[in-house]
Amino acid sequence: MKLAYIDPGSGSMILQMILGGLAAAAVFLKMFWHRVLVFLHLRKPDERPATTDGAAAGSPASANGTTDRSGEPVAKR
Amino acid sequence: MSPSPSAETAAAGGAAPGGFDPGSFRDWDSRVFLRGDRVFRALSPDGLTDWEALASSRLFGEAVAEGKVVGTERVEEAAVPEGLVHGSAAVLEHERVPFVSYPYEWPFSMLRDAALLQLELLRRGLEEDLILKDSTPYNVQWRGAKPVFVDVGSFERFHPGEPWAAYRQFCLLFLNPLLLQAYKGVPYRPWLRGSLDGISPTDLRRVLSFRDLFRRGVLTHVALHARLERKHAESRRDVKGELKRAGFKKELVVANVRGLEKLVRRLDWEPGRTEWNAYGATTSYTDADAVRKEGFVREVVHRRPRELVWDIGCNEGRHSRIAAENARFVVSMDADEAVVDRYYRELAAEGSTSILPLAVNVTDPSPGLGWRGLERRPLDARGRPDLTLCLAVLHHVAISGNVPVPEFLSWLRELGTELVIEFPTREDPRVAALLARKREGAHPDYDLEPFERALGERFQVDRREELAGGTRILYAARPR
Repeated sequence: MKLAYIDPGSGSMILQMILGGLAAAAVFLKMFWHRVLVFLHLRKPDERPATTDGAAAGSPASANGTTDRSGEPVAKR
Repeated sequence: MSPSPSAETAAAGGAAPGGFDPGSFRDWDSRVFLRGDRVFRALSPDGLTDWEALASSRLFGEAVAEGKVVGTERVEEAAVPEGLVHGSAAVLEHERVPFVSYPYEWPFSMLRDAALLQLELLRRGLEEDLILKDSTPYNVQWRGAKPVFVDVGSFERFHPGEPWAAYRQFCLLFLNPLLLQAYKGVPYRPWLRGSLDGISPTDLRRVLSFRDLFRRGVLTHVALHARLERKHAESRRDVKGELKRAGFKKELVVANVRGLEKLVRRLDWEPGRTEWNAYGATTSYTDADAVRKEGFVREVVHRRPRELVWDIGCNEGRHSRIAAENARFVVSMDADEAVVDRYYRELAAEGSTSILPLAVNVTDPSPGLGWRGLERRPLDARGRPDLTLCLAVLHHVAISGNVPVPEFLSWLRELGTELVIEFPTREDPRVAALLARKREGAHPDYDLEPFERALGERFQVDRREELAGGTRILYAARPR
């Protein structure tokens, strides 16, 4: 593992993980909300919710289909 | 006297002759050195691989063309200084920036724009698997009011599974200073001048109130950050390894960067009314005098082209703009950050590349700072002006700042600069207002006759003109 010449800080790295988790959770909730709307027939199943630029396509999101066939995250915006 | 900034740099920098720049020692893969007027960067073998990745990226070509990254190419340069730990594998040459400045001289909007440039380059780099290994405003310089990223050695290949190592540094040197000023109205400049490492989350948290926790960005980037830092300060956990095993993805870095961009873009600073930010409206000149003064400055400016002009006490920048008509570069300084901030926004909106506005108090200019006091250089060691404008400023230096007039003139003489200087007499309403705040009879030496004598001893006056019914006198002078 390559070491940075500045100390990344253990706390700062953990925070980045938490921020990533929060972003992933936001995407997950958005997907979930979309399914609720579909279930209530308020939205058609093929309508994708617009992903905002703050949302991450982390592992939970990938599992929910924000990646295309090549495995790359779908471009945002 | 040489107006060349690099000659001054080498002379005043105190570096071993032919050695690396004294401000470039932290990164063992990339160090800067100067040869005459030219700026070079020596790369280690690892640094070279990173450079090759950057040079072949789409980002690099585009960002250089957009003026966002400094022009850089690989050169054959035999004489690389000793001291690169892993040895030198290649040398790059950079385009020179006109005048080096530091974040403790930038008003709020400049630091914010520098932060946005940093984040934009990081985001665009990540698309091509490049990341920035550090995140400091010292890697950003200015072509006039346009920020340019100068540390090409900061780009490295992205290592999958790792978080952004420089996130903490981004918080210390960009985000926390901006939050402090935006949310508390406390200027970050004295703090950054006192601490080259910036403002830690713990220190900033102590300044913020409970209510501030609900402001955008504070809860996570400051409060939680401070808590985690305290908790893990002594930790020997291999967090990096854990993150990698947990599958930390590049997309998470990207998401964080986008979040930071959104946060920083929305930060704003409302300076309120300061003594000077309505100066244009309350100036004591009549319009006719203002026109005559501009005519005087313009005549001196157009005598010949200048390399570098300083405008001390630039205020709204009217005379800096005249100087820019016939100078390669103008550095405009004023002690009032609110005025400089507004001026910067104007210049940035115009796309100006020839005027650099800085928040500098000339009676307390930036000193040498950092390791051996050489890492960040004093203001006058970064390039000396060949023409200096001191308009409506001398009474502030002498009366508010208590700097004796002959000493101020000696400092200007040591810069080796030509001069346009204005002397407001004791009878001038603005001088009288300053004197009225002091004990009666204070500053007996502030008078026309001693001023002209002190000026004449150091400079050859070649033009003199009275304004405002004789209470303001303009001089054009050359160093003796």
